[in-house]
Amino acid sequence: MTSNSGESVLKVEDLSVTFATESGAIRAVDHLSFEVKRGQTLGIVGESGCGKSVTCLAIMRLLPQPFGTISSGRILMKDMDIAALPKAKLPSIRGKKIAMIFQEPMTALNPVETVESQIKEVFQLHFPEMNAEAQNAEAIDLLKRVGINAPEQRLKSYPHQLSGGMRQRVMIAMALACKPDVLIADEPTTALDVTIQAQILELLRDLQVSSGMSIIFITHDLGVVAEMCDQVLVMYGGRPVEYGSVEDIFGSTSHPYTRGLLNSLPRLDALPKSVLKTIPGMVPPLNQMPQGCRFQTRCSHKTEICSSEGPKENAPTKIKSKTVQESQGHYSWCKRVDEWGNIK
Amino acid sequence: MKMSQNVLEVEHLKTYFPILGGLFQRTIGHVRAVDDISLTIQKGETLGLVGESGCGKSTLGRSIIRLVEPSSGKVLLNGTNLLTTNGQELRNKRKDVQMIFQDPYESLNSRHTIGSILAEPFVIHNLLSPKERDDAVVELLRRVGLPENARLKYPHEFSGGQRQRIGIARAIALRPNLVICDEPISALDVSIQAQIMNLLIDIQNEMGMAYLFIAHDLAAVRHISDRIAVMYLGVIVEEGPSESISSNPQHPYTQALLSAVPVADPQFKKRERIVLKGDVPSPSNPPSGCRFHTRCPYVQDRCRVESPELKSRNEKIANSKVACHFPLK
Repeated sequence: MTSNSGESVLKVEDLSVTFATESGAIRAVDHLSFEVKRGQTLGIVGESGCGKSVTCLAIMRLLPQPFGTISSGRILMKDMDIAALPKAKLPSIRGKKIAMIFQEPMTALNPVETVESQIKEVFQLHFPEMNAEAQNAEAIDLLKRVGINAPEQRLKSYPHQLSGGMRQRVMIAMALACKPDVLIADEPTTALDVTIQAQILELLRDLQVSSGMSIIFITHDLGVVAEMCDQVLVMYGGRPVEYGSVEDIFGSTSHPYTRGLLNSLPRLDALPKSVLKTIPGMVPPLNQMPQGCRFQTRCSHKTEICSSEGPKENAPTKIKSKTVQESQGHYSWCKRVDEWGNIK
Repeated sequence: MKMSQNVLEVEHLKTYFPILGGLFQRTIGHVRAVDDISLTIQKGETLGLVGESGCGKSTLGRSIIRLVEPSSGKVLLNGTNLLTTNGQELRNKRKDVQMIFQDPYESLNSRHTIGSILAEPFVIHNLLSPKERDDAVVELLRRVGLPENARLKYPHEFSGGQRQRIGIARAIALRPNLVICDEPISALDVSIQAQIMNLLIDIQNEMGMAYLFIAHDLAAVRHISDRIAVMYLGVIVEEGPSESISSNPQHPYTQALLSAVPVADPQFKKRERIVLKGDVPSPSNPPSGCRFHTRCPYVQDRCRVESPELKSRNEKIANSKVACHFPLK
């Protein structure tokens, strides 16, 4: 980590995102706050529909228009509030300050343009003063940095001529072109094979060390979280349920949902064909969420208070760490966390 | 059952897809998706089949029930060669082997109710009276944990996990001896994956069928399987009991696959891991000698010329076979 690791690069405060639908407004992200520190990786974990991707689209101001709106909260980079930025100012943020890579590189890349013209488009947009020669040299250098062999030839390739792992490397190269402060990686390895996933994760870690950028890593794979992240935010039904350092989240798990996710993983050291502990039922649709705690319909620790009161969005319970000597802040949005403490 | 306890015996199975090209669309080469594979599955046993995309694992599964036509070899189901049976006889035999597909959104007919989807196997094979079929459908729904009124609904009214339950109900309707599960959990959320794996294990304990469980997720495959076969570029490179494959891999590819699986424990962050270089070569033109030699960290000269045979190379690990000249200890 860099020496100034405590410095906050991106701060999200009380963010809510609302979608207008035929059956009324749906709040996909509900009063979410977190912070990303320089040179660190924040993991956002949760199942489909928990709001992790919507959060990132909101940060990039890429919510589908006109249905999705940021209905409350601030997204702060230094003193600038991205949520309140006028449209005309957005290009100065996208790419330069925050860049994003997507799950499926084949659909994110333009199929009828070569890698070269797609990378150079970034330069033309953000560095119009750069001449053709410098662009060429920079493009080759970028491809080298993301570990692509024979970059001169690859520049002439079209996306369909590249393998899945190679395409993701090209995406990463394009995201790095403007040296962003924050890289948002939305399930970047979900579509890849494990051996290729290992290559891409290693690449992202190396690039982070050399450039000092921060990463927001969205995934549903807890294994990837354990390997990549410094801080973890677990989401359920658009709300945060647990937030803390990776050691705290795995070592002193403090929310029944996080515990349930961890228990449902088949472990390489468990007996084959043993019964996996599962979380019963499934996530309710966003417009049918219960009052109070949203996880109560699937929680085995549920009592009266969970539906009558539920956790307060802005006042989670602070957990005393049992694993790390000095916890950086570990929070649980469970009303009953003090009663059961560290559940198994 | 004839003599052996094997439900399925696959012998020297090859499935080649022609590559057409040139002016007259002539065959200019072959994609060797399945290249000389032999395996057996015993009664009530689960064989896990792992490998990366494009290694031919799904083609192998589909070749077994002739959803794709194999080029040569034998597929013996309870002693009958499926590749030489045709017509009515093949239809009868197919009762004994069913399939569960990866994408529960695409494998159910969206215009049929769940009731008619689940009754269809009985209709096709002309079994049971209409009244008995209704009862059987209700029983199937109960078995996979869905409410009885589900039979009146359409597939779009269900979530991915529920649809996969419907797919399972359809596969077990005729009480087959073998179910081929082609990536049945990879499209599902983590908490739902565990529910479906538990269901598959439960059903197997109750009904005693064998599974061929195809997946790329080694942790899941190890969890559900008795034995595991690892595929690479159309061939099996290692085969053995689940525990010895995961704790004691003999093939460098198995070792690399295991080491690439991210472990949900931050303590493992600093472990040594083997990151394979490069991509999987094309199956239309596989490398000479050992097919893995282009990515193998321990490659030697012999590997580039001589193709290793899949055989037992370590007596200490029972029932294990590996195709490597220099197996790991």
